[in-house]
Amino acid sequence: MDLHSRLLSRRGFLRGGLALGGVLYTVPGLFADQLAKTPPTTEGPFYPDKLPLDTDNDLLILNDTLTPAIGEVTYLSGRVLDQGGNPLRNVVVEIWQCDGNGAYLHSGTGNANRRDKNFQGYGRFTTGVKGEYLFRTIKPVPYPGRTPHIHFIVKKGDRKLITSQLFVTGHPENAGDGVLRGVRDPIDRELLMCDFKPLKDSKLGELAATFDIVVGLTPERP
Amino acid sequence: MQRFPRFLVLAVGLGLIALASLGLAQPGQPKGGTANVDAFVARLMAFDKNADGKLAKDEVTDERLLRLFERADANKDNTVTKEELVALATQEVALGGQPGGGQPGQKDGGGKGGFQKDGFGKDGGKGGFQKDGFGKDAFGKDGFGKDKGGFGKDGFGGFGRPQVGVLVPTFLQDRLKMTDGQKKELEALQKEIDGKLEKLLTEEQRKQLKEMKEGAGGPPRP
Repeated sequence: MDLHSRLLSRRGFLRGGLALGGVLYTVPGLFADQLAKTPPTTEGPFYPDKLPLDTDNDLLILNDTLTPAIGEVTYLSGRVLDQGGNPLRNVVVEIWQCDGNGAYLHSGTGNANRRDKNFQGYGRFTTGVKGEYLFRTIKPVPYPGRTPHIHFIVKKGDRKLITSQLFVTGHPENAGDGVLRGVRDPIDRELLMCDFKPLKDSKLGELAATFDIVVGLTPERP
Repeated sequence: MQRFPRFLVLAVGLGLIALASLGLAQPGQPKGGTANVDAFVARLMAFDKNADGKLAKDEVTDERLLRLFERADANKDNTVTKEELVALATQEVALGGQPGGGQPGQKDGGGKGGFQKDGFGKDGGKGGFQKDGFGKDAFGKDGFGKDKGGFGKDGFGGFGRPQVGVLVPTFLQDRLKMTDGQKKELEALQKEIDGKLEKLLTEEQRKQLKEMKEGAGGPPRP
């Protein structure tokens, strides 16, 4: 009898067996139809060093001022899932990106003198029962030396489940981007691509982008 | 001899399995994410549920990979054969991990294209980014490198594709704290160079340059 069956058959180790089941869930071959994990990439140097007062999911309007930020308005949504395709509820999705002038919400950013004060630069959303998240932001633009991208982190409590970046499908700068090229597997690179399409019925030329994030979960200790 | 406690044996066993599972990559992905054509093909052919040696569109249950499927489907018959996968893989695998074609700042070849594991370059001295993203001197130890004009292989300190035709971009002028006098002289120099460059290039080349410039961080479109 193999180790798996031996351990699960022992009544006294049922709890351990459940934990083992959780561990074996990540063993390739044992469970088919696993979704590929969204690959991690570097956090980069510009995670906000001072979080804004306004940390909601609308990056366009800062503290109720009515002047919107400069850029192509985009509704970015998706789901956070585990590899079995199950939604992760109550996890926090954070995004941050440079504004339309190429400045981040960070004291060390380039283009600091041109920072768009009506762009929040950072947003946060807690997923609902279906694992879904939603942000209103701008389509990312190039930052010196980088192709357009949006940084994201998914956290469960204090634990980071993934840190990565999403990119604009087909952008000409992608081929030269060092971070993206550092993702060696072309399938992994594909998993970081996001389409920015015109939002149906929008009279304002807004865009819609859908990006599902698949995370691997380490097992709970018994 | 004392009987070795069973729970201890199993705890060690569980621990070992937990460790082993951490070391295992997701299904079909070779350890370390090494990109090669075989691995790419194998990873996608894992979706071939009916094992007929090709992929039908509805077999690709991970929606995020449908774009890749469409790229692979060269003859647009909604089926992807192994040959079509190999052809796509050969193209796409080649894009990963190599120094970007448009990355200056590589005085001695650079090799890693100015971007190391963390995406931002361990060795700022070669003109890449420093480990923390920008380091003290965003342009590496030797500033602009040999060519202070900003052109040339190492003129941009690893900032990715050079903004062709621009002597000193505005964000750099600010960083360098150029005086008004300097800026005026630079402007005159820029005009002179623009004129000469325009005479030098053909219509087609000028068009290409314009497209590159817009992709490399021009002002956002309204």
